[in-house]
Amino acid sequence: MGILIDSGARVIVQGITGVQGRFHTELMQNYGTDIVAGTSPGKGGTTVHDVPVYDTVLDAQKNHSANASIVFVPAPFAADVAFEALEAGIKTVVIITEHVPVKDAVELMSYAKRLDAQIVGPNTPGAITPGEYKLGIMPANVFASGNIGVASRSGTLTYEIAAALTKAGIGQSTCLGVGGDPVTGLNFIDPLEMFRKDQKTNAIALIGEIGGNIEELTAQYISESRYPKPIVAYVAGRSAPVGKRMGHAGAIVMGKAGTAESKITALEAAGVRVARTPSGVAELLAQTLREE
Amino acid sequence: MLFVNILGGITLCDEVARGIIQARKELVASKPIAIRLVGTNEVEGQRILAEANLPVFDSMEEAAMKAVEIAGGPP
Repeated sequence: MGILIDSGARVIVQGITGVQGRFHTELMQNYGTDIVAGTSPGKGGTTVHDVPVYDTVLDAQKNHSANASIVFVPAPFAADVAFEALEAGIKTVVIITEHVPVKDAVELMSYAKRLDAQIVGPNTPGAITPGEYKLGIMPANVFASGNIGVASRSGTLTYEIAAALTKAGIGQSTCLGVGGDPVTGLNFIDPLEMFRKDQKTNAIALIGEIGGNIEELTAQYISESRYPKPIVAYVAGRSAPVGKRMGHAGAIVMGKAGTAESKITALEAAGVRVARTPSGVAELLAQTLREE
Repeated sequence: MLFVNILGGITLCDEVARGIIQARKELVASKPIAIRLVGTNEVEGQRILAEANLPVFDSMEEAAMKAVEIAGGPP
């Protein structure tokens, strides 16, 4: 069972008739994810890969009691459809879309919190519990089932580090992208809390990057909570110039804030081993597991 | 010299490979290139590059070292 949803989750794909929605619906189905319906206004009554399409999530919920959704619609409308899912009773909404307007994201996170629902992203690859389900867009072949929990601000670095772990014979319990936009539904503390309770997870890989301060806050949480499982981290952007966005809207060093150095120092002070390269995470984890 | 480092999630490796081939056809001066290409549709992508005699790597570190070597940088 994964930390985000269990393998029995029933999923709605929002924006299923678009190129990305269509493509990833098939890949998720092939992985074993139960896609019960899709939505696309005006396309109700059609099907995509045998999945019935509805105009709205409310319509879909009349026939299917879905409990999770994944959003593939463009940024200007992404928050809107996430609101639609929340109002129809969906408790976990994964937003793949990048560059969701900050004001939309702030309103959405606040609404989700009131409903006790979970927003993953925006700008996330989603979540995968290898061998069980995939609620996202990650290339499945780099993952293998095992006992390492992975939480990340970067999609591709998640694949990179999962591939290195898999190659080293170290499988993963759940890999979760918290999202690369400036305002996201999850920080690192949420997945760390989930991994703490997850019996399948023995150790954790955190993949941070420059910008914001969630790595520093996470370091504080790790120290103060005396976090019980070993954590290895990687922080992207050690050579990033000040004032330049590095791929993600949220990945920017402003003045002295958000530097890789500050994050690495804070994490190391909290007892987290920080790797210098993505594949170094696998080496440090292998070492950590041997010492346990 | 060009270093292409792709681990495709949304990005399709075959599309990237075709793009590289097309760019090399259209550009008169083709610079030396080191390519790492894995992820979604990697088998097809690597096949396309191999057919065009372009060496392709599985690991970022290997490809990066090759790029440095081609560029004549520090060992």
